[in-house]
Amino acid sequence: MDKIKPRQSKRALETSYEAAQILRAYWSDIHSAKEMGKPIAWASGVVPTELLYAFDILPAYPENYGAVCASKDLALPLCQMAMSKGFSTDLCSYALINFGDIFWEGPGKPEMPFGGLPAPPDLLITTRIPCLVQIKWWEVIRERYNCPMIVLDAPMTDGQATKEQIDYVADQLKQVIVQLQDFTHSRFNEARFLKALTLSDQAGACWHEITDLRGAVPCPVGSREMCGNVFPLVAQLGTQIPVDFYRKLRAELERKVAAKTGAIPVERFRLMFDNIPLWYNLELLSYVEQFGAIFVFETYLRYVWGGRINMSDPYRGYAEKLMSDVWLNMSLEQRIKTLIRDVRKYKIDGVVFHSNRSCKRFSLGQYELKEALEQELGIPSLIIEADHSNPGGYSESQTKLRIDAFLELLEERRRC
Amino acid sequence: MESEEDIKMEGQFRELIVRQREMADEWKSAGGKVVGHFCNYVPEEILHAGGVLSIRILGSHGHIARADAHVQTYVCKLIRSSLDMGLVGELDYLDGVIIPYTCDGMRLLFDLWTKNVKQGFVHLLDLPLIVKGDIGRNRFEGAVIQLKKSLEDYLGKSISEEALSISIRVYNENRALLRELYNLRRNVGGMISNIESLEAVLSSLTSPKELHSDLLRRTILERSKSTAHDEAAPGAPMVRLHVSGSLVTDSRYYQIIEDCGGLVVSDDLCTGTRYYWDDVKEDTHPLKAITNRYLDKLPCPCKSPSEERYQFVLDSLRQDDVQGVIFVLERYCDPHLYDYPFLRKKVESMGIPVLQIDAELGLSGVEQLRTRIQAFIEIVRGG
Ligand code: SF4
Ligand code: SF4
Repeated sequence: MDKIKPRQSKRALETSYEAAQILRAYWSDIHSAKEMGKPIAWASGVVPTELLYAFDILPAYPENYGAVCASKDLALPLCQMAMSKGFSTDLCSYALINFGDIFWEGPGKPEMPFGGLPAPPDLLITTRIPCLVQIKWWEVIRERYNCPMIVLDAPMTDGQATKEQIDYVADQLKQVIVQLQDFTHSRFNEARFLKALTLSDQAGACWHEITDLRGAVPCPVGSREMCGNVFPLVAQLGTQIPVDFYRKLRAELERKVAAKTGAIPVERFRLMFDNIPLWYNLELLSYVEQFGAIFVFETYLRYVWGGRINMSDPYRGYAEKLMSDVWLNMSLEQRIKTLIRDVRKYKIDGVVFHSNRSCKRFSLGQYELKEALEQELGIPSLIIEADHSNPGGYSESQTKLRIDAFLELLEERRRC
Repeated sequence: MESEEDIKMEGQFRELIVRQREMADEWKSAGGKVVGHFCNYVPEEILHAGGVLSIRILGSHGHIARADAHVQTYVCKLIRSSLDMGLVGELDYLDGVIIPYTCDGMRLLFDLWTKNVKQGFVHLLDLPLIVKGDIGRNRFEGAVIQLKKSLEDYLGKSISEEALSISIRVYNENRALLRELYNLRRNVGGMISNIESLEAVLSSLTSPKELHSDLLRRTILERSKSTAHDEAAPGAPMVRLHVSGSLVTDSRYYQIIEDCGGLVVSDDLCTGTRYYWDDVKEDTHPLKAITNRYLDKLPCPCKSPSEERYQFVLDSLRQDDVQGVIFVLERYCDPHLYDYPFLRKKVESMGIPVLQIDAELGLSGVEQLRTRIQAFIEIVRGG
């Protein structure tokens, strides 16, 4: 396959440079908050972050921090430490990284990025919306630090939650508010909460528009860069920060799209990536670009955080947002429908499925998705076997060979 | 020494296991339906009341033929092999299946089943995670009512309160007998062999309850008689062990333990106490009573909170004078694998040695396992 002149290492979007500043500011804020005795919650993915901000509790994300550790090549020693404490190698590697951190004993602990997770947590909050694993993981953290824990349950949905499902989660959210009042010994400030929801919805709306702008041909920004832009969405929904950041990003994208400036010089193949990226090998996402292919859409970026909130019925709207439109919480049938729709909408030529041994909830069903794509749209796809954070057993060269072959296949199909 | 009569009795639970399919066919030819399910949280009483024979699907120990094309190999063998059984037609005799939302893999199994196996009555029992507090209780109750309603629609008849009350009694009786057997094996060492006690539970999961209770009753009577004039077995006393895990379906584990001088006196298994520990109250509204039983039952690690489960394990160790604990950990079983290190620590801090066995339903590497169990039992004896 012919290589196209390699792209300069610089980012496609100027705004992307601000993501790193936001990240640094977040970490320095959270450490100073901890020093000042402000409550810190260790929060798992898809918890009601907006509620925490409304109560002035800062969330820290062990899951996201696991990704940070993995991207800095620290996953292996941490996972190994966890395994030496009796945790199975088959557990989610985010959890193993965290266990390696919090149960570390003896010398040789790697220097933890950003000064480490602020420990001990004052509060734990978790949910089954993405997986049961988080609940089990948080129970271990609770054993370690013996602090209060809030759990939010939810059923999986067929994309859109039913009235009954919404009521179930909304009732629990009201209970969470009571738990947070008890925890903070302060009264719930509803106006503040509604403000947080509005900000969250604005950020969510903006994020959807950004996703859609990337649907332009040529695509203005690739996957690797966008993986670096997702942090404010993960951790700061309910604050002004993601709203400002994503508005700026959107404006820049709009200019690029109007000018038809693509992220790569010649865009020949548009790809979709399914599942969590390989944090220790993000380069894989941009690797394809030298061959004129670009990842323009990711289930992970679009369907985990940042949904819209029906503000005319805020509690139920919030409940609905938390559990709907989340890939991990969608039934297989809904995933198939959504995939088919998006492949059409974003003009995708091929899909790369990351079969991620760490995340069953994301990965199970991929074989069915692959088949449905082939049958309904005739779109080819590739399954690569890896893990989102633990590089053990992953072969970069093998994977690249398979991607090469996949691109060849796309090329051939285009020729006929 | 065992008498011939004992040996005959001993084989009877196994015979029920072997005859499982035959019994299901008989049930069907008598006009009943047969429905499979996957979990201790499925309220079987409701099935029974609808004239349905409930069969706990326990996966298989064999080779996976077709499931690998549908699901990755990094899910537990129960899920993989059960899906495989469905795909190759081994479960065609079932009129349907009930799949509960317990762990993530199970929930996705429901989707895979619906898409690829789809036979008769396929029902998702959409259980809440949290079993304490009103919100969880209401949701649980909703799921039970929903199950009853769907089943009624499928059967084309309603399930009366009276029928439910009768089924509750039938199930309570079976559970009471299983507990009696459990107590016997704890109290009168060696009276019930490891394998027999396991097979008693395994067969209960798949046999008509009335028939099974009958056999349990006879076994208990028989054994109580024979121990009355039989003195303790000669030789070194057996080492008293507790087995912890999700499910043990291969009796060879228990055989090896016994061969090495170990006696399983207690357990916390889905194929053990978690199945029969708790009864349904008989003096209240039957459907409510059923709901409450499943909500308040000895929790499994798929439910939150989990303190009660830990407490049960630790209490069993104290009460049963347990000398060692064997954790049989199913590979890829997240709920159990997350709990394990903590539980292990708790057990060890009681001064009780622990052995961890990684399992994938069926046992592989018999000799290697024998060596490990042998060594473990020696440690326990020496300690
Ligand atoms: S199993 Fe998947 S969703 Fe759950 S914590 Fe791990 S990566 Fe996140
Ligand atoms: S709880 Fe464990 S053994 Fe049971 S289905 Fe889930 S993973 Fe498998």
